[in-house]
Amino acid sequence: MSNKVEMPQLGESVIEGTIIRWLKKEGDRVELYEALLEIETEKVTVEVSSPFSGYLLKILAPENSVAKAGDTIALIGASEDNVSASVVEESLSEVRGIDDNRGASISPVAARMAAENKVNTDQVKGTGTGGRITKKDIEAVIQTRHISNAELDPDSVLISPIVGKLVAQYDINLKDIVGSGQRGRVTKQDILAHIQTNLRQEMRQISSVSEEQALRSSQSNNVAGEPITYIRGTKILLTGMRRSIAEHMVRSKRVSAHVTTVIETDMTWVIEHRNTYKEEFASRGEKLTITPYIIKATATALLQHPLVNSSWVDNGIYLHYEINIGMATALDNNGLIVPVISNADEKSLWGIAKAVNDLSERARAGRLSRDEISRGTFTVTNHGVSGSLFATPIINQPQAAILGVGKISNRVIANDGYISIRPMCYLSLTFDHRILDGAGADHFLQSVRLSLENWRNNPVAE
Amino acid sequence: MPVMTYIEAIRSAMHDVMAENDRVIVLGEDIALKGGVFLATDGLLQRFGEDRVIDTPIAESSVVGLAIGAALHGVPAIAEIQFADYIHPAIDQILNEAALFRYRSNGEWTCPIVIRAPFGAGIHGGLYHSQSSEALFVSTPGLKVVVPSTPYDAKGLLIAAIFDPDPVVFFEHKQLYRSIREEVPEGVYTLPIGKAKIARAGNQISIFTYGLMVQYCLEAAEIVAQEGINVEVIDLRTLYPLDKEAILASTVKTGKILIVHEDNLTGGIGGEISALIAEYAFEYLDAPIRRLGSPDVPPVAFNADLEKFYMLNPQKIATSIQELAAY
Repeated sequence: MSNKVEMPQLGESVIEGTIIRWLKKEGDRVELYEALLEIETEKVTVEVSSPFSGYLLKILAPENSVAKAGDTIALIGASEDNVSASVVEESLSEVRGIDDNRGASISPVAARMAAENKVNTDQVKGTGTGGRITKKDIEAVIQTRHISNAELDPDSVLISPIVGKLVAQYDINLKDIVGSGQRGRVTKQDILAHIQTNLRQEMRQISSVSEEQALRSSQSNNVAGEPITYIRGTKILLTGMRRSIAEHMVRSKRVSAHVTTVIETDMTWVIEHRNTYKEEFASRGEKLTITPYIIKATATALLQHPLVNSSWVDNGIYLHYEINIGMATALDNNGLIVPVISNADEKSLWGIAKAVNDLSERARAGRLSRDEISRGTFTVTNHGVSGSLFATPIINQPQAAILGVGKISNRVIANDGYISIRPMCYLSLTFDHRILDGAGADHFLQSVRLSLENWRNNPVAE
Repeated sequence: MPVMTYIEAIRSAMHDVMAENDRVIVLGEDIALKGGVFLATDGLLQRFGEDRVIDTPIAESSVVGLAIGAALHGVPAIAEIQFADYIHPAIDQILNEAALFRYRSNGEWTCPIVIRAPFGAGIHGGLYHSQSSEALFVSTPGLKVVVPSTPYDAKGLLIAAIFDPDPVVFFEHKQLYRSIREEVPEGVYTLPIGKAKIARAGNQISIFTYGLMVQYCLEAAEIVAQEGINVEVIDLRTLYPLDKEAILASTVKTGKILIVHEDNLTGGIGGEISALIAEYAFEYLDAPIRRLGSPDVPPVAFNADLEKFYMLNPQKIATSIQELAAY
């Protein structure tokens, strides 16, 4: 009569274990409590001693198979005992088949599905009889996979087409940007805002030093109040403003490829318009000079030629959205400051005249604010007031060009084969040849001229 | 400049063209003696006589057939279909005859007709006085399909349609007839067929829409503007051919698209516009393209509450805009 050796329960919650090694062969003599086999459960390997004496008649659970606690894993009895086939059958059926290292069995359909979908069967819990892995178990794994992909894990990022395009164009690292879209998605707005902030920082770095100095100098300039007298044979000390102007001019020349191109424009219609409206403007409290006309014509031309309203930046040319036109203003005591008329394209002639008057007055009084001398995108300099016909002004960094307006003087010109006397004015545009070429610069100048020469058709809008 | 309602603008278009051009005729059911069930042709019989303002039997196929026959012989004809819901008997005349004359005659003959019809829901019209039929006509080359949303556009586009040497199907939303008024020039002027209009400029979300929905979308845009959502509303005005340039330009600007039409969602022109955008402006999209339409349910409900539930309104549109903005 053979005795069944049962798989021991090696812990309260342990229900199965793997047969690691049989320490006796079939047919060997085994004494009571002699070491019979080694079993592994979870991470514990345990030596199991024989509960019987006798001969190890049959090993029913071979090495590497998994047996549940209570399964018959071997038969020990007298050597002559015939181990009946039925006993063996019965015992064998309690033990799971071997298909992989852990001994879990798997249905053929499930095995094929697992292979096709790259499911690791080691990690699949079988719900079939005897812990068999079935098709349903594999399907469940595939399902959970889809769900967990849908809940974006923080390291994977959904990139919309335009975001992908901008990231490539501007060489951005997406991880630098906080996404404001659903599930933390980085949106097109987020990218554009990021680019804007970066550019503004870049702009600020380029222009901050000279602005700061210019501002302080203009403020302190008037506090001093005394005119400088030039005595030959002496040295005049540099003011902060002089130093900053000098530094800016030299740097500007060094940085930009300065080229100046000149056209002439007929100011007849501007002068006519001004003569018609200057009293009305005066009655409303504003002086009307030629300057607002120039600035308005320039703003219109900048709308039509956005490349002139730009800045050379690292690996690109930034086309500014706003059109902020600076007006170079001479100060007493040999000073120079450039207050900015912001959004000049949105202002009417009246609005520009107001801004021009207000800013020049406060410039001379040293009462401009930081905001009013920064963020300019283009500059106009009225060198003609002192009689200069045309000039080669230096670009106000980080802009792309500067427009010089010469003296308006009556000249004899040939028009359609006739000689006439007209108030003509040379417009000198110094441009940065890194950004603009001659043709582009000249087209811009022609646009300015067209606006000025067609002033009769411009209503004075409110 | 006189202020006109939409229906007055329509009448003014026909009147002013017929005054300048004595060959143009108008025909349809109840349009002469009665002046039209919406008074679109009111006064025309008295002004231009029964040779040019013709009451027809209740036979839509014949109405369009008559118009085609006249037009082929140099008499531009405006055929009124009393409600778009009745246009179906005339489909063969429109798609198989009117649209194909250039081809059939190797360019020698054109068919200068306008088929005008009131469409759309919201007036408790039930099955046969509420339908949107435009989808039936927007895939037939040879036709043009125009749907104006304002009085100024309605007059200019209708005159353009009458002058157009080819057949134009012209849908007028009946709820707009008396509910919207604005300054409309006297005399003849035209607006271009095939060109959309920016009804409201914006830079965050593009809405492509037409008809009554233009007004609703503008209201919705105001609602969401309070939350800082900046919406661009494009009034398509012509559904066939679509103003592809305007659609793509707006898409490039914003990257988020919402298409709104009263027509049922499935098979409405929203699908065509979505495909156009996906094919030509894919790289500019920042969100999936969204469409709003009436539910795929026949028909427009007659019960007032159900009709309200069925129809789109500014609040429903605003909710969609908010979802799209948050994406």
